Amino acid sequence: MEEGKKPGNRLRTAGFVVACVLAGIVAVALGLMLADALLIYAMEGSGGQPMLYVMEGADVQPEWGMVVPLTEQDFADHPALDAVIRGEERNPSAWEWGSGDRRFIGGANVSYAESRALQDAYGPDRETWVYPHLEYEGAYYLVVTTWP
Amino acid sequence: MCGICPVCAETGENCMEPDKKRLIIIGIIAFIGIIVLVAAVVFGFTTIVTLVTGVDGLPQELDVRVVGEEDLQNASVIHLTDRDLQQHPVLATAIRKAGSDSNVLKYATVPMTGAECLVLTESFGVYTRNAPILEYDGVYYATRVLLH
Repeated sequence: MEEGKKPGNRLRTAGFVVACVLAGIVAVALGLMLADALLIYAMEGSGGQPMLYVMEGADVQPEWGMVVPLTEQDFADHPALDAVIRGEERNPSAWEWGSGDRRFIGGANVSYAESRALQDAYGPDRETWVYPHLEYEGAYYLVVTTWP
Repeated sequence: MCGICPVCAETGENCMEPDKKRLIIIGIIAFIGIIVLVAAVVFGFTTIVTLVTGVDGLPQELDVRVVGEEDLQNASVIHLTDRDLQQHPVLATAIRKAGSDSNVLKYATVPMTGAECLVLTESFGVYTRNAPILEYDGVYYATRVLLH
């Protein structure tokens, strides 16, 4: 009888340990999410104004970096991006300066949460720090966000 | 057996109901504790890093000072619009502060991030060798960037 119980007991102990480990992983993930939410909340109260800026490159195929075609879904998910690239925030008066192969075509006020979302979606690669080129109607754009 | 704790699993004895409840309570407290601990560590670390290095690279300042028409000479002049100031809050703040300075030499310095510096340089040449003079509402402003 004693011998027959051992495999079941071991299984139960193993299950307990696995459950504890899984619960620990979930707790760490929730902790990271809570920290992120706290940071956004603290920044929103700091009085700073994060911005979205869009830089347009020369009208030729980029030689480096990934090219991401912008879709209607992108514009629907990020109205500020829509407003700068093809809406009322496109600002030609700021185009008179800058190097010949690139120019900032405009900017829009965004919240800290939006700035983070735009950075995550269109910001530079975390390892190479190379920005993806966003392609829309034959033009190529880079998205720059500020986090003051 | 309670079917949860390893002690019961090993001994094969019946776990007492209060012990089972205590184990569950300890588990919940540990779960919440890990969440709070991780959030506090990440939040604290990020805050310290932000205070030391800035959110977006080393802190920089935009220095704006009012100049007279006699100082223009052959400098390029960029005429700012209301939309320019709306899209560049750092420049708007600096110009507003410089304009309201009661000293004879009217100037203002405003902190900015690396991304804001890039945008202002590409749009208005603030961090270039021969930075253009900015004009807004009939007043001329010379700009430069201070690095710390």
